[in-house]
Amino acid sequence: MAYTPLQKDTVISHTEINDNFTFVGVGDIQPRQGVSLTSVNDTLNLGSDTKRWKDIHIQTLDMSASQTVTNTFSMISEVTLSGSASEIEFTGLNGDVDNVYIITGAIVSDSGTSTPRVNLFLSNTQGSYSASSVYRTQFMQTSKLGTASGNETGGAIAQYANRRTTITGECIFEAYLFSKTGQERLFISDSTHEFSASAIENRSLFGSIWSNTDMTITAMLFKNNLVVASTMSFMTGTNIQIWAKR
Amino acid sequence: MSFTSFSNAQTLTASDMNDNFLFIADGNRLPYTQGAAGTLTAVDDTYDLGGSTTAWHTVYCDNLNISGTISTTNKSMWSKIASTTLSATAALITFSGLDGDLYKQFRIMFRGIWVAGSVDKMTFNADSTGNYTSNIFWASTTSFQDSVNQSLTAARFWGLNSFLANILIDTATGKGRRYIYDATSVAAGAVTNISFGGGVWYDAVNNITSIEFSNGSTGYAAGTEVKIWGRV
Repeated sequence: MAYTPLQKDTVISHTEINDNFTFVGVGDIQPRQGVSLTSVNDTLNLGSDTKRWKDIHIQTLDMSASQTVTNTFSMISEVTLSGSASEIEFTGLNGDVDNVYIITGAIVSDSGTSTPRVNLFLSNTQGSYSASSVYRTQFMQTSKLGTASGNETGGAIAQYANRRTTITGECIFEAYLFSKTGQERLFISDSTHEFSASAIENRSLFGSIWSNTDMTITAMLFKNNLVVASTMSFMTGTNIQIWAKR
Repeated sequence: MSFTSFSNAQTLTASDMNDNFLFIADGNRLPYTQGAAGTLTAVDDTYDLGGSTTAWHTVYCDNLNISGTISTTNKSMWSKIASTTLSATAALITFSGLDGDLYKQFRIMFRGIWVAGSVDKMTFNADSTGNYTSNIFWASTTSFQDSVNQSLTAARFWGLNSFLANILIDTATGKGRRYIYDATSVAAGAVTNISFGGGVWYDAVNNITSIEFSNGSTGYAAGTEVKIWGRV
């Protein structure tokens, strides 16, 4: 069925008129534009920020970009390394808009001789990062060497072992960060790490604080706490996702 | 207001023409099909808004009511993909028809009630061949213990009696499937145990198509509820 634009001094049949209504009103409703009502992609909106549809009832929802649904967590950024990197940074954030972040990922660790942590650094409004001494972490963990707990500087969110000898030497973690200004920013993280094809190195729980209360979080930086002093890096396949409550 | 299908040699009134436009565009927008005698009849679950190559850019609405599935290109939403609530005691709770490669991650909320048990177990693809390792760390009202580096026939987590567990699993093939969990157990109105742990299923090849839960004894009581969420 075609759409027939009306023209001055041109006779149009009743069929063409009916077809125009059918073209617009029947079947799939496409985003259309121009005098011939050509369908277009990723251009037009349904409703607007101040003129919203009340309810949308659909069978299947297929989105190619982002979604903003009040009171749900949505992934707002993701990095998967295709090569090694000494640090991973996320910018363009606004901790006062998002309020709460869920940070989750799978870290592929470098080899080494120590037991590094993955530390989270939060930006201040000047776009720089506070030194690790401004953060404090309490942790407890169970490992093949036994249990441990402690208090240390830095904002730890995961720990992995140094004895990575196979591709399975990775850890996964999930952290919650309360990001709004007005009080200290707290985050809590679970992580577990395997270092070979037959053993779990440790299972850790971290609770951390960034004592700054008045600077909006605009970026996050993930670093190994030994990265400056050694060759520890995030390796290919490392994946970190930032989810926000919006 | 009605829709008028026009006929040859018919003289239209302005009202008829206006009504047709209003029928289509005014107020609630419904999915229409051509009905009998040139009418437009609203139909359910038949037509699309946009298409795979002709997408709307942004949809603004107050409420989104979806009775089927959700998908996002970057898998940026969690959606419930399976759930069960026991109406009677069950020794095993099995979810089949899963696709770990499709969802990449599962998040499981397990509200369990033991009939009797020893430890909660989770197996993938019915693999019980010692392909698992776990670390578990727990605190009761009187003790503080860990259980580390066990080579096991199932992935373990530890609820007791009546518990809530939150489990996150990396499900994509290509590497051993790792999981972490947190759990809180209660009895007689008091918390008796908190636990966290994690582990791995050492199978990097086979897509996860099923998950089975058991507790090493007579199983779970009526009212036990398990929900599995996947990234869509």
